[in-house]
Amino acid sequence: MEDLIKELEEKKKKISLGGGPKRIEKQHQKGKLTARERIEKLFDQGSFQEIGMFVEHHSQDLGMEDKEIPADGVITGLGTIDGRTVYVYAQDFTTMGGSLGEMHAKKISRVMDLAKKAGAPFVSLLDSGGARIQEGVHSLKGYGEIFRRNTENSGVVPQISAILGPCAGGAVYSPAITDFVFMVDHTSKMFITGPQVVKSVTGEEVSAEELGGGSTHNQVSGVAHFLAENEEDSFAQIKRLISFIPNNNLEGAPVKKTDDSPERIEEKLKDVVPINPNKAYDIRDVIELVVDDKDFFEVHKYFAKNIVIGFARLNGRSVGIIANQPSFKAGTLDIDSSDKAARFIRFCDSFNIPILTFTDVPGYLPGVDQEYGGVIRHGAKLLYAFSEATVPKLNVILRKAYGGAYIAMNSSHLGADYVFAWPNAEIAVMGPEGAANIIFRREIKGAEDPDKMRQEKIEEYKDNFANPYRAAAEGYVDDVIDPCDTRPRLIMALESIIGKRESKPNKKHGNIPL
Amino acid sequence: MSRKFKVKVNDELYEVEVEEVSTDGQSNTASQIKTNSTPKTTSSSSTVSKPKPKAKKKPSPNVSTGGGTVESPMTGTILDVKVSQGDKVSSGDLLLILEAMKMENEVYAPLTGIVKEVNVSKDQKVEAGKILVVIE
Repeated sequence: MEDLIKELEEKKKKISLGGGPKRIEKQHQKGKLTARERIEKLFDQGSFQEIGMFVEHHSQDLGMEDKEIPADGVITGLGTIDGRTVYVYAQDFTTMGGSLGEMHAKKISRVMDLAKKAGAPFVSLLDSGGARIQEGVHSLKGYGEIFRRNTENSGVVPQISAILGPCAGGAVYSPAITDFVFMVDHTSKMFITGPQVVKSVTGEEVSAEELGGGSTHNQVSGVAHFLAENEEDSFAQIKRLISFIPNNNLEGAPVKKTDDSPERIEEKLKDVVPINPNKAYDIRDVIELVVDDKDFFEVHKYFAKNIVIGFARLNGRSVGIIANQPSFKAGTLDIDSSDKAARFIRFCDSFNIPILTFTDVPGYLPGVDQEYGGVIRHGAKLLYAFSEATVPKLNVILRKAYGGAYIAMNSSHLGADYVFAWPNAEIAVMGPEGAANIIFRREIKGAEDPDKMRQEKIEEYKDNFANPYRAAAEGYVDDVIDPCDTRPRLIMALESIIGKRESKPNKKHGNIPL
Repeated sequence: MSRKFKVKVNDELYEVEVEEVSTDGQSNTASQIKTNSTPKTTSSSSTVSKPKPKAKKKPSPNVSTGGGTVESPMTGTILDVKVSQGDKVSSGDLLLILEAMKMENEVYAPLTGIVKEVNVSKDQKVEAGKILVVIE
């Protein structure tokens, strides 16, 4: 027996070396960790249990007969993060460039199935040259089966992808289906077709970093949700994200004890939002003053900055926050911000995370670009997502809430459970200037001094309509509150509705306007 | 104020926007010339332009790694310009205020450097995507 155990240990040791010391050295030179090092850093110390270490490929074509690929280029298994079970796969770039062959894909599919059965979050660490060409259509099958599982597991367990090297061609669609994508600045590259192909087809010259680097996908395309300085930073961010979300769709997020009193009256909230509706401010200041311990974990921080989304806690309970950002594009809703918020709402709804919105929105962004780009179709997603969500939904109207954008931003008409407004809120069909110009057009035109008349009418409209009391009189706003009381009022509302049950008619699924 | 001209070079028609920039009362006659990012080579002479949506985004977006061209985030009016050519600015400094959607949008420097160009002046109307300031 001793001999056999020794043999086992040697076998494991050999496989653990992946592509061998030379290739590991090369990986390190690129500032990258190996697959096993990554797993070590992600999980609680010593908690990783490998699955399928001895799996081998059985390809007989194109010189593959005699080729040894340790672990077939991917490490799969499970471990714990803060004591919670998480399944993982990490592609090993040192063995055949982390290329995906049939058995490589089978290993991934296996842990995906286990994550679903166990109801545990799933983390993908991608670093791969793409399909293993020698295995031809077998590797394509492998990708397809992963995509299908990503889709099946969507809304069952949280799926998180970290791009830690190249991820090109069809391979990008697995992370794209998952809930959150992390990228590392200057390490990660994601594209459907690389710079050479782009150049040969369209003549556009672009570097790999510009085309598909972390900055590009975080700022421009919105493919990635988080940008990390280095790999360690990305693992720290993944752990932080996991702390806010539940293990699966049948559980709630972990409750984190806090010393921040649920009854905290926050005087500073009186001064954060300028009374003058033309003045901008950073909505994150409001969020931080309301939530537990100023702890706000922003998602999609660099993309569509006119809406801010992220996780925080109220009295220890996770909430998903969606808030208009007046300091960027005036906080308007547009194509990208609607997409960004809608997808986040659906994540929260899938995983029982209550939704909290802070509304200060002047409307949808006008423009030919927006209309041609389908702002109708994209904006509709936001309404759809809010209407569809059955988790507790809270809304605080801080200032402007005009027209269609008012409806879209978690209004009571779309099913919000509690809507509060601050005394300076303006809930109306449009802003006073626009409204006065239309309604009193004739009076203004006919007046001796049209400008004076216009000002008078604007003031009249402001006094009568641009306030929270019209909406409150109809019960569309549940209460107009002192800004300082926002935190206690929200916590009372949340605690009262946390056990919310809402059943909808049975259907396969709705048809969200994509 | 900027004016548009059509210029024909080698039988190719270019739309050129010429803008007079005056800095500190000094009228700069060698003015700013800008061509459309993709000069339209209208071979047929009909130049009636339908309200064309803005040309496709250039392949290199202004990611943080790029240079310091500050584009207008929205269509609006410049309320105030806080810097002038040659000024030293730090990342996060206020460059100008753009009024759009009835909001005074503050536009900040994306990086630390010297202001190389200021392409707009107070009360000027600008379109989304227009290069407002170039920092080097």
